Amino acid sequence: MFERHSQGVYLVQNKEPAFSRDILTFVNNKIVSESFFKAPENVDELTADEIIEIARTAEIVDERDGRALYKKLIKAKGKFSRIVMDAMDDEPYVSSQMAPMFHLADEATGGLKLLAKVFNNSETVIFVYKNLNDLNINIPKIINDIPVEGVGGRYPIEHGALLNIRSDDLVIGACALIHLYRAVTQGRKQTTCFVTVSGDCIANPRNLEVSKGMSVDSIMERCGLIDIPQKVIVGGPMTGTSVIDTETTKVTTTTRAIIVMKHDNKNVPTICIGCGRCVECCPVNLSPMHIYKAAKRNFYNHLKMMDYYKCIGCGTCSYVCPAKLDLSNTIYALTERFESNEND
Amino acid sequence: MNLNLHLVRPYAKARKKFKGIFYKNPVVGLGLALPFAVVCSNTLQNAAIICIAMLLSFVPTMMLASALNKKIPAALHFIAYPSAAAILLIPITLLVTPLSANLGDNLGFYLQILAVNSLLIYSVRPCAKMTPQKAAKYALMNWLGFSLVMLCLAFIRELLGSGTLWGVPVLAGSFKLSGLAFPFAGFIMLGFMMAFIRTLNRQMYRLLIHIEINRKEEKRVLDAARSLQ
Amino acid sequence: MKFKPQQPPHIFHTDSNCSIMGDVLITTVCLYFMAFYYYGIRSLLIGLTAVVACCLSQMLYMTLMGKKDEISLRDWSPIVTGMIISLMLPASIPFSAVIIICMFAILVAKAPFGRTGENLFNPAAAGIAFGVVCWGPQMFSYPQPMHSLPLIIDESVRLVSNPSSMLKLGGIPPYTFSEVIFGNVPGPMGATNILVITACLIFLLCRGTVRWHQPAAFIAVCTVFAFLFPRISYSRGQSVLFELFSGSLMFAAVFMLNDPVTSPKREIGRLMYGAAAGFITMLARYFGSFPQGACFAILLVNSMCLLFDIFSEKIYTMKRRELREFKFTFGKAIR
Repeated sequence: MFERHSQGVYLVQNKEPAFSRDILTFVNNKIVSESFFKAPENVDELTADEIIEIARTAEIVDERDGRALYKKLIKAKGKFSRIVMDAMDDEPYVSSQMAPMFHLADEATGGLKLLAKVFNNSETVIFVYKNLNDLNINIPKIINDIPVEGVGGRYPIEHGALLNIRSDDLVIGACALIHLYRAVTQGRKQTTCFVTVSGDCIANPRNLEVSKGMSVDSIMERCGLIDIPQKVIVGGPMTGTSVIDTETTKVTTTTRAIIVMKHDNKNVPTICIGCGRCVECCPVNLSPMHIYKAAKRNFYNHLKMMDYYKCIGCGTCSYVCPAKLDLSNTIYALTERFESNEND
Repeated sequence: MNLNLHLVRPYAKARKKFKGIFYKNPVVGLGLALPFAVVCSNTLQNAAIICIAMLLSFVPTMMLASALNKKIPAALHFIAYPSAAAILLIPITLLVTPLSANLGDNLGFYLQILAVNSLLIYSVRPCAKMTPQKAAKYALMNWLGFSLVMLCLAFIRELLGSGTLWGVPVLAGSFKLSGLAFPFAGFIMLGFMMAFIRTLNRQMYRLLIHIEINRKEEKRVLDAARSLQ
Repeated sequence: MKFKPQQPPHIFHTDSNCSIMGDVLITTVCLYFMAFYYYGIRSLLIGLTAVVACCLSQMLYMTLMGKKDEISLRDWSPIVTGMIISLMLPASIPFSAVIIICMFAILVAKAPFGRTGENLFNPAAAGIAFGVVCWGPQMFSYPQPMHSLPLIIDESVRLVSNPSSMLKLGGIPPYTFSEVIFGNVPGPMGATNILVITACLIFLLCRGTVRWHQPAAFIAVCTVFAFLFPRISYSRGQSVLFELFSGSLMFAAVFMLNDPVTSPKREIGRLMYGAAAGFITMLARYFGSFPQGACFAILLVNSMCLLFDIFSEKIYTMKRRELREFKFTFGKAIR
């Protein structure tokens, strides 16, 4: 009776045609040519500490959570038995982890195998989102001798997939492994990142490898615009932020996507009719409707009982609400509001 | 800010003079004696009987309460005064029941319960500190407020509920909503009446303040015009 | 390029308040076709009167409460209330009764509690209950189907009682299965066409407007009750059939029980809510003074909806925080 078959929501994933096209390189060549350091001579006989030192010199950042890769490796040294390459992209339009994993498979699997060999021959696996119906290319079950496991479920699966991960797994993003492979074999620092440019206002949606710090404006021009856009989003459409000025917004390693839309959403919030869809679809079993009503009226005692701090900010409740209320931001912002109260 | 409320203050004072009817009405303002206002205001006849019985039992009991101020200890208040009211109610019941065949059935036991109604028990404490004349005045004003509310409610309920007034058919045609004779309609009507009276009071204050502010503006404009000449 | 800042998420589901209420309106319009087929143009006029009365009452009370700028054409809830009320009435009811019932439903059962999404009781159920109390015998005598009705009902129209009144008096209704299913029995205007109502239920379930827990629990409890304590003593099957398909039970299960504002939000709460409503309906039918008790049962269960909500929230709080024992005290229910 407690198994919730309707947690989360199925989204229409518009990943084509950006996924099937090759990855385009759009980098600042001057920065790239200045970013080489001394590569190690013998790749096959590296120890764990040397790999960590190389990751630190190359300034590799994991794009899943924005942490430096060498810190992650130091913290997890000796405690894991399986390394997982994270190529799940559960938000629509975004494929900036799947496409490098697929098109630059040699580099990605090379990096994964390097890490596995160095850290006591651990197991390796690749996680990919299973419920994609509109891909033109089939993702094979084994890539370069590494098994590809399909993770099923509804958005947000990042939260649900964490239940698939055992406590002794190490999860690293696909792009970080590519940069690690390049650092070890060619001695290159990380100066680029992988970004999906998509949306219904872009003439050529595809994945790009761009230099860090490039402005959003130039990337949009490189891909071409069909019409005058009304909205530009940095990040996924469910949790991304909207851009105010495209010339001053720069790309960083955790920018996974740039989405350009033709139409504004002109949704006017109306009244809550108590349909209960937000309650059914919350992945953490919260009750967004009651938290929103209590937040609007400042009932702190009710909020304490309802565990507002567990909100992960996935945006599913605002997505399904038929009255177009701004549920997810109100609830996620409560944590900051009340933390400052408690610290006083 | 210097709000010279020379219109609002007389209004509030006048309201407080009629304390018991308009200012702190026992039924509408304080919520006392609710069962009678709800159940017994079916018809005008029932309401009138209850009002008369209340007058004849409430006012003498309050005068008694102020006369026997210190003689009865506080713990025995709630036994002594309701018993006095009950003794006073015996002749009333004997008078009323032969008047009409179904009056005794209609009222049921509500006539006897007048002895322990909440208005009486609430008023004992203030009346014990007053002199008998003031206690009589207090009891009379409260009784007036109670009976006004009862009669208004009974008027509307009987007119719309069975198309009669004091048993005489008044409305042409057979327009009757027989659901208004039930207590649930009494509760709903009492609620609406309370809301209506609060709204009236609030609109009165608003109107007076509006007039006052306009008067002040007018005076200021006239002064400015005079100073320019 | 410069843009205005906007909040995530930037994509939305296509459902809206209008589409949810529009689904219910489509199903009630289908029921009106059957009512027109059986009872003529008078049924459509009753529907029109009810809708107009409800809308005008809604505008009146929004103006009185000072929320005049919140009146919008997108709020279709008074239209839905009007359609549901008129489908529960017999086709031979005078027009003044319809207007008064609709005004009571909106001005007394909905206005004092706030605006549209904040009412505690189902306004349609409250209106029908008021009508039953005020015009008792008139609400339960129905004209024969397939006879034409004049606009003003006078002595020439023959009014009979419906199968649930016959069951209450201890008799056996003389109708066959196909007559009961297609609605060729006297009864409330929209509540006799069982086949159309079942189709409406399936439509609403597939569109996602209605969750299956409430109607399923309601009908299951009624069936079990009618099976264990049949009123037709020689045949349990026939007793179950007539109990379920006579009167307004199925109509209430589909339209009045699933009002989103007055129902609990979690699955466990919904199951308990439907079961309690079914139990009280059957008790009202067997031991009450009116032949049909669905609207009173729904009013009673509406007042207990908050209790069911608190109970299921407690269970989910326990699951979220991974506690082991279940502390449930009535005194401090919200802790």
